[in-house]
Amino acid sequence: MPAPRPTPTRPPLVVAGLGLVALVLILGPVLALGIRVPWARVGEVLGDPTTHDLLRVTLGAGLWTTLLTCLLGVPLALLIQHLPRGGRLVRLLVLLPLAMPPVVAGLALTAAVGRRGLIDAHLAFAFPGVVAAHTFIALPFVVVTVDAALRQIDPEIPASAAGVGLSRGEVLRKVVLPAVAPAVATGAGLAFARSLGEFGTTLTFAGSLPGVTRTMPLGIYLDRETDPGRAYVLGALLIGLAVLVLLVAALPGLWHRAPAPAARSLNPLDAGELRALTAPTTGGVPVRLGEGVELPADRITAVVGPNGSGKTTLMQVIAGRLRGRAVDVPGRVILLTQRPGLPRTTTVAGAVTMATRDASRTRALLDAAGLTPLSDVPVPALSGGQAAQVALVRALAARPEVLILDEPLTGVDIASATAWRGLLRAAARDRTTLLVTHDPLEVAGLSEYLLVLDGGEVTAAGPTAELLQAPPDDVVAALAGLNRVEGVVVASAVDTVSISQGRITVTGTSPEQLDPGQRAVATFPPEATSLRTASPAAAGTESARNEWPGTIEYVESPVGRSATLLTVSLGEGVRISVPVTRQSLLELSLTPGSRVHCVTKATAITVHPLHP
Amino acid sequence: MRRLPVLAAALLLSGCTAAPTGLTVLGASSTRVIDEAVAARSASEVTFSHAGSSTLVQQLIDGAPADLLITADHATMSRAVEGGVVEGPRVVAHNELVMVVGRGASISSVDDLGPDTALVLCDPQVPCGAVTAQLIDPDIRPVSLEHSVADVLGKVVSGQADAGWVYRTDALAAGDAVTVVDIPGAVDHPTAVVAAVTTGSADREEAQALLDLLSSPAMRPVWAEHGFTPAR
Repeated sequence: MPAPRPTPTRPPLVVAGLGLVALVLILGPVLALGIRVPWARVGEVLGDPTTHDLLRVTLGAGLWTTLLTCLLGVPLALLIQHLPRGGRLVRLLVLLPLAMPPVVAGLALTAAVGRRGLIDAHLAFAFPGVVAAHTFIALPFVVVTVDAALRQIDPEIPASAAGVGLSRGEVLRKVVLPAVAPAVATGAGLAFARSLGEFGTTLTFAGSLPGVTRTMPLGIYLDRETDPGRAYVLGALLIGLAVLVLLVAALPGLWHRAPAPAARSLNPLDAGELRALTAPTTGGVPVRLGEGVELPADRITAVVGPNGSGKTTLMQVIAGRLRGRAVDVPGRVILLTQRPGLPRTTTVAGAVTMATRDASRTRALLDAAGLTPLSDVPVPALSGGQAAQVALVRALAARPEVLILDEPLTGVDIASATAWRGLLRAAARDRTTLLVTHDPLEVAGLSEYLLVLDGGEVTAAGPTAELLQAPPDDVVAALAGLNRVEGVVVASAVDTVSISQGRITVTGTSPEQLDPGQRAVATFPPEATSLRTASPAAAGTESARNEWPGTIEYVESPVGRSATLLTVSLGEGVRISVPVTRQSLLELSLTPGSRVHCVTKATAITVHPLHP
Repeated sequence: MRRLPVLAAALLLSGCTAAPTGLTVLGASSTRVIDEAVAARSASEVTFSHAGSSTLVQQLIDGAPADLLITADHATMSRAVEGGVVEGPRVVAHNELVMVVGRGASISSVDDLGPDTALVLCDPQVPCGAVTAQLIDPDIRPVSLEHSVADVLGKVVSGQADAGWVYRTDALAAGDAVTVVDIPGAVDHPTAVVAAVTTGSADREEAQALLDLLSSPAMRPVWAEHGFTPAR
């Protein structure tokens, strides 16, 4: 069976037509020139010493120009990325040499570094002057192409490389430059080609002395006066050179092929070995957030909160990527986000070795993590789940004291997520781990400590088990899968306690003594409540102590569950979840807006004191 | 959609509407200074187009519409005659080489040119350079062989070069920006300004009348005023 290929797409006819016109506009004159070239004279012109002089000056200037434009242009492109507001103004100014008339460019150079210029750099009428003129004109080609390539790099990639311990220079050498190498080649090729064709600026600034400053375009212009045939031959030669240069510059791009994702089955995880290879020498350190909140060392802390509650911001602050808030972290912090941030120009083993700096340790690590089958896979060929696992191993390889995981499993399939959690659980006891998550399974199954954020502030922090049992707010209650009603204690009997929130009174049991007037919170599992559509049962015929009238707000049918989840509003801002079977839903005609009575046994409700 | 071709045709035509009456002169760059005087004295409406002499000849051979060609030397005019695009060339004036020196440079004669002088000349392949080659001491080494008189003059005016050899007419046009120094023997090597009616002229009689005007006594003071020597 042949491999599937992309379905071809066709542009609209007008686009295709105009595109062809443009192509003919470019190639037509070049081909027409070929008719006038006296091809029989090519040998004679090539053997002429004058031609050798022209070629020597032209190619010499081209090579020097390419070298200098890359040497100066790549750093400028890099600098632009770090300028405030993205260096928009600088980006525009860089284009000036392309927009200037060449003669004006020559006059400008004369004013700056000519014999009577601001600085006499002894460039005029000498070969370095030709190179200076060409570098001035061709620099934008390198800057623009490299700048565009740099903007395509996912900022997470250099950030995570710095996170696993690469110095600024190493990030540049091992991550950024390899990523933009094809663009540098393209820019260099364009600069060389532009140098081959430069005329006006060279003539104005450097002059035109045979063997010293006279390049081929200058020679062609003069030959046109006395020997047009020779001018045509030289012109053809120059075009040939330019085509050759552009072809060479395109080679890196032609080599590059998008690697096809390969299905590989992974090996089992060796938890003991993985811990031995990744434990930081000093162990984890506690993270102090100020406000008296301290996240415990060597534990997984789950960080929860509604969207926009400032979780990611706080994690970026702790990781040192954002400033402005006082946090105290004595040790190396690594942050993993949902973008794995692996360099796309290397293999899995290469990416991990950046952190380990030791190929044999990389092999041992991948082996312990069960990822050896992936070690020679190019990063772009990894699936999302594989990349998440590799990124975690790479982060662990740097032996951080603090590891921050900001929803790293978004978009990862269930099997990979399970493998990833296995990796994390294996390494959890050796370092402080912060896990930002929305997943109740991760909170309950992985974390020992829970940090709750809302509106950028810490609203609760404590051991996960305690907080889930007595959720301090609706976010944690939802995580715990519990309904939650806050109120004031109104009555306390031998084995029951009642709290009231406006018209709603909740009666439940309490493990400790509560006094009237005290604030408290009642929690109960959703399945403890049943629904009734008829009026209340007669007094003395019902054991359930709680009966609240309410209105159905939403009806949800989670995929793969038999029950349908209803959200019922009891008024006073109180909402509870109640599961019902599909059959009940149909028989009772429950739809949003239906009036219902919620019936709950007091024994299913736990009341805790609410700490201010 | 049916209007598109009509529109396109209209656009094309508007680009190349030829004046029904009047003459087009292709003149060597150095003759641009007499345009106004010629236009004022001619019976016909005259349009001028200027470029280097050989560029003009190439344009004519490639079919540019024109009635009169003026070149800055004999050699380029000969190419036009060989190409069959003009007939009966006639010398209408002469031009001679001078040396221009930038403001502040201490050069008052050709003898002051030393190895440290940044001297720019025309390349021997262009008309001004051909005359230069006949006059200059071969030991004097220029720093650049320029492609036109304008390039030489531009380098001296900008201060990039100390001195340069150009036509007297161009030196005069540059005004106070340069000092003019006579070149010994230049008078004996004048460059001819040659004019001829094109074979493709739509109105050969009018074109001939314009050619006659250029060599007429009425034009002599005009030529002289701009640094040319009127033809005898």
